[in-house]
Amino acid sequence: MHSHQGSVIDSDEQIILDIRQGNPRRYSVLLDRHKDRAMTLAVRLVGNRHEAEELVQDAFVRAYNHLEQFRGDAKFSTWFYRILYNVCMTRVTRRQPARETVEVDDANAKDKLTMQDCSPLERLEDAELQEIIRREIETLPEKYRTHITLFYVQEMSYEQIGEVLGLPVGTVKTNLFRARTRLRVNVLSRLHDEVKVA
Amino acid sequence: MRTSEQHCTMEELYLLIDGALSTDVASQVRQHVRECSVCGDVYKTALRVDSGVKRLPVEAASADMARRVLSTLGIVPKSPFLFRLLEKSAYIFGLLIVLAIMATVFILTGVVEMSQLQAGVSPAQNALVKSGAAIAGGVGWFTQVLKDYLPFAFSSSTMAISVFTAVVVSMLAIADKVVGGRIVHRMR
Repeated sequence: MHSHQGSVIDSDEQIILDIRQGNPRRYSVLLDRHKDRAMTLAVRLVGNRHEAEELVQDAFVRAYNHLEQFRGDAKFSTWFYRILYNVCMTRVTRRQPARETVEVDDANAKDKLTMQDCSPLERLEDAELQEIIRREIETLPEKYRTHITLFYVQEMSYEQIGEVLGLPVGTVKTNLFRARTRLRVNVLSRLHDEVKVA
Repeated sequence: MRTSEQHCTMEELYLLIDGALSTDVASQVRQHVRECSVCGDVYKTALRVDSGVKRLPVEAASADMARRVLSTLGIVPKSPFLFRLLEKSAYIFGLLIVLAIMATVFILTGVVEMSQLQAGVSPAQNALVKSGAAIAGGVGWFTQVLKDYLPFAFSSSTMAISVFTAVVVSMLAIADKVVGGRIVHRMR
């Protein structure tokens, strides 16, 4: 169903159609719909809120200015996050040299995991676990942080992540698998360290 | 067919969590996870971390971001200068009011006495007196400048205070604008 007033029920593509038909104010609906998730991705990529806000704003302005290039082959969110990702990465790479990323060896990861005692995780409160996860995500290499954020926060499929990052689906699967494995290992290691200290 | 000795790979476990395995393989892996304590533990922890990541709160963008983007794009007109000034000043006004209330409460409850402030009883109070004197000096100087240049605005003391406050707040707002809204952003 389509309504110019009821923005909640309109799809992103319908709103873009409205904008193209001369109702630019409808862009505010897209902004409100995507700004928080966009902020989450930007904060994870650049590491601070002030800069992230500026970049998200920049990405929204660029997206609007290039709206005629959006052909509708992919979802608007996928197209927009690609712009946001590029904007953020331009800033990150300008600020610091590329960080070396250490690949997780799957076999070693597996051995490590099976030997770890998982009981502290079971005893942990949800809020505590989330705080540990949040801190551990921040310590992951940028590539893994991005994959995790797009997958969990943006709830993107492997294919959509591939479109945003310009990677083949197979590479996305591998990166995501490594990111999740490393995150899980790091969370468990952190828990074990905290148990030892206590 | 999977045997009970053949452990699952992490990849299989994550694909199981994502529901990305074919029905046959998924039921084999699920069966194995139920029977094998090693894979069962790994699966449980992966699931727990996974659900923890999913429930992480999103970062909220500022409420006026949409308006700022729309005004940058020229879709909505920029707010009038005076309105933006007042908007920016709101936080500074708030801070000034809180400070004024605190000072009033301190003086009325006797925590700080005016006579003590003037006498300088302790080093801390001394510092307070000195900073108060410095501020008063600054205010006096600024008021004098205003009186020199805006004599018409000083027909009464209430008017003087109003003009002084308005000018100071406006200057702070302009300074904040010059530094890209960082003062207000930090105060938020």
